[in-house]
Amino acid sequence: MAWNITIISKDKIYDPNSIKLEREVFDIFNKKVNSRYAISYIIEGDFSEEEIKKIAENLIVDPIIEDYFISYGDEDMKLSNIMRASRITIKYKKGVLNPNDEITFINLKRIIGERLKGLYTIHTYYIEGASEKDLENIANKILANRLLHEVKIEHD
Amino acid sequence: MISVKVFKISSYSDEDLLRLNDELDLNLSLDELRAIKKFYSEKSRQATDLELHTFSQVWSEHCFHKTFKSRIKFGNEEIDGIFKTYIFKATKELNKSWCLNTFSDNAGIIEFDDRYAIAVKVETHNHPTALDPFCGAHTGMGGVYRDILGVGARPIASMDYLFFGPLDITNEHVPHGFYHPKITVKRVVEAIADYGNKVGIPTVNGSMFFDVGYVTNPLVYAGCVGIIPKARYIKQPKPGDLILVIGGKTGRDGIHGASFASASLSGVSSEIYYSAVQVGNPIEEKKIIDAILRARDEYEKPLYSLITDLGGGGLAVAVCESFKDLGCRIDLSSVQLKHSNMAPWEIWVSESQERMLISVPKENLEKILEIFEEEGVGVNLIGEVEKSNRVSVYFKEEVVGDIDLNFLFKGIPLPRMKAEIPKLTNQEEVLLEDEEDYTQSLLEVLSHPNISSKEWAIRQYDHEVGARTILKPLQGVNGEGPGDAAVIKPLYDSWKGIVISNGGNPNYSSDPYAMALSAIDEAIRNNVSCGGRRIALLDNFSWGDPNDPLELGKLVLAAKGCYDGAIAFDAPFISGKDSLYNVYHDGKKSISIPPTLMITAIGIIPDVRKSVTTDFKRSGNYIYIIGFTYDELGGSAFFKLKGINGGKIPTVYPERARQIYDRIIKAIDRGLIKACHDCSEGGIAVALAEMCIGGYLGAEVNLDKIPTNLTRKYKILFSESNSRFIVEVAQGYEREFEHLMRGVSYAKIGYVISEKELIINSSKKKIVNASLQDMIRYWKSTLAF
Repeated sequence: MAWNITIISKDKIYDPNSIKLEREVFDIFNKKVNSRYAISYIIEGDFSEEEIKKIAENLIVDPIIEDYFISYGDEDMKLSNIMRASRITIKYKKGVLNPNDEITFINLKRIIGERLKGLYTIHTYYIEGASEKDLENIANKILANRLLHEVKIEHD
Repeated sequence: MISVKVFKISSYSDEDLLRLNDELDLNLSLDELRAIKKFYSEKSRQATDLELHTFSQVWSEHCFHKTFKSRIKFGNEEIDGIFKTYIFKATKELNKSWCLNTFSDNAGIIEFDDRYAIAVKVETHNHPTALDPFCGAHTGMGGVYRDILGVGARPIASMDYLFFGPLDITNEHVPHGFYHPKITVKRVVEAIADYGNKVGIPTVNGSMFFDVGYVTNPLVYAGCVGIIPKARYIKQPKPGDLILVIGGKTGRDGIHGASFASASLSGVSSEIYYSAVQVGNPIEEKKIIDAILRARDEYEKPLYSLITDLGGGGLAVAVCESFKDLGCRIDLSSVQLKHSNMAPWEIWVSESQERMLISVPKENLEKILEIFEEEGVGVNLIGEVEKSNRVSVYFKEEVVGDIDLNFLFKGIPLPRMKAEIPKLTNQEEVLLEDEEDYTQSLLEVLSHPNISSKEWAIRQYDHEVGARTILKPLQGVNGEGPGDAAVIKPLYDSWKGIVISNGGNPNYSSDPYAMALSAIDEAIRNNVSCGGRRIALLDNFSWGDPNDPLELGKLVLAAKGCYDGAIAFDAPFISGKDSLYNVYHDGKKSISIPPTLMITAIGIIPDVRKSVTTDFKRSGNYIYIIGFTYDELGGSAFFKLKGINGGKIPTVYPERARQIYDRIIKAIDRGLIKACHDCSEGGIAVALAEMCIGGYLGAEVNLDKIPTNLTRKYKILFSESNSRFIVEVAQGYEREFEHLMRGVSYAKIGYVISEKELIINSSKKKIVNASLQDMIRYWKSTLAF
C-alpha cells in the first residue's frame, strides 16, 4: 500500500501540459477538446498522513499555482470534482526505468531518509469533448507508447 | 537460480537451425548459422544461449557492417568491400598526418593543435526512433556523447540531422502503429533538447528534411564533437587489468537492439520488439562524463587503460571488441541489475543506457573508485583481462559462455552480394515558359519545409552552454537568419576554432553518385563559407534493403562518389556509420526510404574572430556571386513546388570548386568578406532572401550579370548548382576582392540596400520584388507549432 499525492494546476492557471495536448489534438485530428492534467506521485514507505502532507507541501507542490490531494492505498484516485470528463491514465510499465522518477526518488531519499522505499508517477489527462474512438487515438497517437506505458482509458 | 540453456547445435538440421534462430530471435542468416554449427562440431561442444546471442549481436549488420565488408559483383566489377574500396581507401591514399585515429575506435580523432585533438562521431538511431520518437532520439544523443567519451574526449558540441514524413500528410495515410510526422517531429526535437540541455552540451548545427519516404522510418542522425589532450588518449589494456562497468543499472531495455537495428519494420514490429526501446537518463550521463574526465585528468596519467561505450549489443559487443587481441574473464553476477530475475544472456546483451566499460590497472583501482564514489556513479567490478584469446563468461562459479575471439571476429561467412547498376532516371531536360514575375514562386519556395526556418526547433536547444559557441545556428540582427556552419572555440586560451557543417540532399538520389559528390561539396562549402579549412569528413548512410540489387547498386555508386569527392577535395573520411534495412513492409509491398547520405565536415579556423556570418551587414555594400550556374534543377525545391520530375541533378567540378574555396578562404582571412552564404536548395534566389532576412536589409541585384550560359530566368534563379556563394564586400574593398577572384567565375551583381525588399532585375524589369516582411512571414510560417 502506498500514499498518493495528486497535483493539478489551479483553475485558470496556465497549464502547459493541457495546452500542449489540446493543440496536438487539434493539429492531428482537427478536433477541439478541453483538458486538465494531473500528476500523481505514488510514495511507498511507512509515513503518517501528517508526514505525507509535509512532504507534499515542502518538497513537491507549488502552492501558488497548484492544488493537491492525498489518499492512501488508492493508486487510481479520480478527481471527479475537477472535471466531469473522460480520463486517460498513463504510467510506465513495471521494469521500465523512468529517469525522472529515479532522480526524484534519489533526491527525496536524501532528504526524507531510508523510510522512503519507492516512488513512481502516474499521468492523468481529463478530457472533455472526445468520443471513445477519439480517446483511443489520443492515447495511442499522442500521449503514450504501449511498448513502454500502461494505458487506461475511461470514457465518461 | 540462474538459467542457462544449452543447445546441441552440432546435430541440428537446417530446419532446426532456423527454428532456433526464430526462438531466440537471433536474426542470423542460414550461412551464419551453419558456420556456427560447424565451429561447435569441430570443438565437440554444445552452445549456450549466451554464446549464440553473442554471435547475434557481434555479427549483426549494425555492429559488423557486413554489407560494407562483403564482396559485391557490380556489373563487370568485383568490389572487395565498399568500405575498403572507397571510403577507407580515400583516407589511406590521402594519408594526412593530422588524422590521428580513423575508423578504429569509438570516434574519429584529428589534430587540433600541438596539445589537443578533436574527436568526432555521427551516429544514426533510426529504428528506435521509429518505435518511439522521444526515446529513440533521446538515447541517440546519449549514445553519441558516450562515443566521444569512449575515446576519453570531453563532449563540447552536438549536431542533429533529422528526416521526417510530410507534415501535411493525412491520418489515413499514416500506417497503423506509426506516429503522424507532426508528433514525430515534436517528440524528436523535445528529446534532443531534453538530453543535450540536461547534460550541458550545446546543439550547434543540424538540418531537417521532409519526404513521404520517411513516414514509417524517420531518421535521426546524432553527432558530437569532443576535445582531448593528445597525451591523455589511451587504449592499452594489459593482462591483469580489472574490468569495470560504470554508470546505470542493467535491465531488459534495449535487448536485441543491435539485431533489431538491422531488421526491416512492419506494422506489428511494435508488438515484437517491445524490449528494443531504450529509455535515456541524461542526469546519469552527466555524472559519468564528470567522473571519467576526472579519472582522465587528475593524476599524471589517466587512471584507466581503456574506455569504451556500452552501446549496440551491450557487454557482448563492448567486451569482445575491446579485448579481442587479448581475452578476459567476466563474472556477470557482479553486474548491478534493475530486475532480479535476469538470465545471464540478458545481462550480457542488454543495451541499458548510460553505461561505460573501462579497464583499470590494479594499482589505480582505489583512486578511480574514490572518484566514482564522489561523483555518485555506480561501479561494478566484473572481470579481469587475460591473455587467453577467449572471453570466459561466468555467473558466480558457473561457466555460462566460452567465446573464441578468433572465430567470433574472423569466422563470419560474409555473403557475396550482387548489385545492379541503376539506370539514371528523370534526367531529361525540362523546359518551362518564363514567367513575368517570380516573387510568389520565391515566397513559396521559402516556405517549403526543407528550406523554411527551423527556429522553432533551434530555440528549444541550448546552443550557448559551455561558452564556446562563436557562430550559432541563428544569425543576424534579430537572430533569425540561418547559419551555414557552427564555429566553436574549444579552448579558453586560444583563438583557434572548429567549424562544423553538413551536407546532403535525398532529392538528388535518382543519381546516387552525383548525390554523394553534392553532399560532400555542400558540407565543405558550408564550412568554407564561415572560414573553415583543413577539412575532415564523416559519412553516414541510411539506406533500404541491401539484398535488393538495385538498392545495393545505388549504395555502391554513392560510395564511389564519396571516394572521388574525398580525393578531389583533399578531405579524408575519419569516421562513418551505416544504417540499412530502413524499409517498411505493409504485407503487400515494401517501402524503402530515399537513399540518404549525410556528410559532416569538420574544419579548422585559425582565428574565430575572422569567422563570417551569412547576414547582410550594411547598405551600399556590393553583392557578388562566386561560381558558375548550370542547368541543374533536377530534384530542386523549385521543381518540387511545380510538381516536376525531371532535370539534371547538380554535379560537381572539383578542380574549379577547390579554386573557388581557396580564394574564399583567402578573402575571409584578409577581412574582405562581410557576409558569405552558400547557394544550395532554392538556388541564388533563396540564398539572397536568407541573407536579407538575417541582416534585416534589402538587396537589389541584376540577374543578367550572373555567370551562366542559361537564358531562362527561373533556371538562373532556382538552379541548385554546387560550389557557389553569395558574398558581401564593403565599398573600397572591391578591387582587392576582384583581384583575388581572378581565374574563377564571379560577378558583381548588385548592392545591399536599406529598403526592406529583395529586388531581382532582368532585362531592366523587376522579376522579383519581395518585401522583407513577406519573406520572413513565409520563411517562418511552416514550422510554427
